[in-house]
Amino acid sequence: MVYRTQKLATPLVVVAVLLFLVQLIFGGILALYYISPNILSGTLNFNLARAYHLNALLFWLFSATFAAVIYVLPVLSGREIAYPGILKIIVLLLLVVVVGGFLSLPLMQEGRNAWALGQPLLYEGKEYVELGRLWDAILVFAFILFALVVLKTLPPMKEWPLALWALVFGAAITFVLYIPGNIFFKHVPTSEYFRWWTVHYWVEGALEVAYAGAFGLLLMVLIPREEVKRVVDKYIFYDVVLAATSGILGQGHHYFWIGTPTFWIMIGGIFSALEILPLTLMAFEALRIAKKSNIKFENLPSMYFMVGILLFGLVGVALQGLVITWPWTNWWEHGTWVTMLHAHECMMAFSMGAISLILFAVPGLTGKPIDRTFTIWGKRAFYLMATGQIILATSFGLAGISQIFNYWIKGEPWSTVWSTRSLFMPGVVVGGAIVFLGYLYYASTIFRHLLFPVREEPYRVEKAPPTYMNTLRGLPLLIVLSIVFSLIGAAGIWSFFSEQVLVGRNPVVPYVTTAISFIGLAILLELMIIKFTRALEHQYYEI
Amino acid sequence: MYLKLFVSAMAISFLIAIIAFVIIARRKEEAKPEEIPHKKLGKMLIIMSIAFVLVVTPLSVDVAEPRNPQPDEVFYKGYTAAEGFRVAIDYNCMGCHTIVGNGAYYAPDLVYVARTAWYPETIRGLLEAFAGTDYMPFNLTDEELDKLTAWMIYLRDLNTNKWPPMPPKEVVLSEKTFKETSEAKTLYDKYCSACHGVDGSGVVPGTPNFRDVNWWESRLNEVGWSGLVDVVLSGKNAMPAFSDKLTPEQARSILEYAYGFSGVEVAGAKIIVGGYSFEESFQENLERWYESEAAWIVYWLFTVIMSSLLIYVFFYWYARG
Ligand SMILES: [Fe+2]
Repeated sequence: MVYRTQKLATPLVVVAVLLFLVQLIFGGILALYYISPNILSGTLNFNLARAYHLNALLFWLFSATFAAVIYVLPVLSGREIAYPGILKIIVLLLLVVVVGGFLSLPLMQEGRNAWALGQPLLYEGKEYVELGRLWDAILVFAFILFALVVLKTLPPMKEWPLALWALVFGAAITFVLYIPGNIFFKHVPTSEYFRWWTVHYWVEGALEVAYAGAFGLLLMVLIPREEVKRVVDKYIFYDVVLAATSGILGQGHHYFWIGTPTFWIMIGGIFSALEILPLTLMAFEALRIAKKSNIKFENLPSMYFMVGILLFGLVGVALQGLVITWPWTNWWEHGTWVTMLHAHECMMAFSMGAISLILFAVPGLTGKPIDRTFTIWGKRAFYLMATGQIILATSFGLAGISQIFNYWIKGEPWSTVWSTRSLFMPGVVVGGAIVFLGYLYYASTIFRHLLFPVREEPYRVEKAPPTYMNTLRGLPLLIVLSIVFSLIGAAGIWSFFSEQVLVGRNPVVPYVTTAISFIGLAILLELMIIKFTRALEHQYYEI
Repeated sequence: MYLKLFVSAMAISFLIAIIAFVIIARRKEEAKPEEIPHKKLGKMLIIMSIAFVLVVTPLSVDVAEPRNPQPDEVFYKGYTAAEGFRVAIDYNCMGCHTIVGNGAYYAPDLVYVARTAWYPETIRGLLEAFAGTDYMPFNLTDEELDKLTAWMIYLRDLNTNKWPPMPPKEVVLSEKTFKETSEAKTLYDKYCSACHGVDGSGVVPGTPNFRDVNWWESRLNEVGWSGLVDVVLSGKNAMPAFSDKLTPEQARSILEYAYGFSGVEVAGAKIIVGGYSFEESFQENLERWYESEAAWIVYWLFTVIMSSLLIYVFFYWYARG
């Protein structure tokens, strides 16, 4: 470790790892509710557990992002962070918000909120933005302080490479967009309209841009060659243009049915279908760079999770999004568990980005080497989390399809919808348990490095022949195949409009086609993950 | 109409992008490492899309010519839907239910519930039945139940382009959906009938004819229910103010009672709720200028221009980047 101020990232890393645990525990409690709805009713209501599940996620992502920025800032600017005292205050404020916000959430069980100036102060019953204005104000104050520190530390903007622009602006916009979604509007369409400014523009705008930037910067640090810098600059530029344009207008896919005008159905439908362009570009560009650079990565776990964000981004964000984004498919899937398939894979993509940054920073922060156990545990964490999440998300998707038929079309009572949907809960529980196991490996890797001496020798890659599974061979074909499978899924949901389903009450066609699509995409994703990570480990980059 | 617009915009922009790619991009030489081709075009695309969202935001949030009922103008037992939304926020309804399809998926969608139940009394009955059980383990006061009912009536009437899909169902409008209580009739007969007539046709010269549906429509368009409530409370021309005798909610219920004179056969009228076609809503919404046919030409052109450029940029990067 070269810079003293980098050490301030450590408490945030710890917070991020612990809040991830909180998120998983509450995810487990939510699953319990599907086994028995009165299991904790009255003591820890479903909506409270869900608020924790979501907010723990948001805050561990925030903490990890802050930690990563604090870690790379001195490296990028070649000096200590300005105002380390303020930085400490920022860390403290973040903790105050997490603790205060989380302690006031239980008040929702009694409906006891405090209102001032037409705004709820302690908490707010809107998913993803449940914190009350009081905590929001502190958080925004912390963001502003942080922006000042970052700008003061970095060299003048003229010297920034495009990747840095993308990272800083992506991060800044993430925080600015936190504001509109949080304000209370008494008109439901208005309230939802601005809530999606926060949630959608995070996922499909700011974070996508920020992680593209982080990815680019990482490449530039790992491969310090002038030509790489130029390739990265170019790819960042195109990626940002495609992501920003399709993401900003693709917002319309949230405005189909919330009381907003009909034109959004066209704008949202077409531009959100184009949202696959930036992520496909990213996947192809990664292949291109891998082929050109041919380097050996020392921190394999971090690179594995980088691959995770790339592939979960392609399949979970872009292609699962493509399945449900057409007005004719969204009409059916909106408000069902099919959305949860997309949501859980999307959030995994961003979580993996954050985990990758943390794993990248920890050896540097502790000044301890990357050894055998670090690598092996980190790799296990990655495979378990990825596989578990694919199983969990796919189960949600299949259950959602049965929900469409039973609820929207047959108009069955909710209890019937509930019990048919619950048939798929075992998949969710098994998937969740595997993710949790992966978490244990991840947390152990981090805490082992933070707390214990690390004296093992470095990890040695075992020799393996360049088989199909060990190389990138045939990967472009797999990407094209995934696009085909997502179109099959779209056609499957669209077929709910057919006479056979609506009049004949025969759901075979949509059931079979969507099952083929969802399971096919799950297998393709797993296959691509294995190929990509092994190729990285063995450096078999030929395509 | 909508299907044609959608498919043609998609197909034409692909075509334009491919033609542009063949004519322009393929003739260009491989870009040098340090140059980024189409830098200006890229920046323009981002700025244009931000501009579009900012321009249509006032239309989308009902600031210009609203397309939804307004939360302050939907009442139940004197409480507004806006007050109901606050209660919903305080108990975090969205943490179990979905609202217009957004939220948790643990419990049914509230628009769906409101539309299937339809009648205010039925909605309130549902709320009352579930409050305090294991499903909704908190006790709602009578006041909170009324507020939530107002809010759910408002959700029921939102213009959601026909979402959620549900088996089409015939609803017979009862007298109660409009003339909430017999209290309204008593009050009307007591305070209004002397001038406006027991049947609303107007006794004193200068009073409007409540039996004329066009009069109602133009007045409701101009000032809305809240404007009419103001007239009752603060008076107009020869009409005295009633603010010391009536609450705003009573005034509203009297007005709704009087609206019934216009021959709009509220009681006994049948409407169809639900169904499986959102495309009908394009036809139904054409009446507002920003959803009119002329406006659609603009949206179509914008879509074609932006998406063809976007696809072109992608092709260009793939071939020459
Ligand atoms: Fe979105």
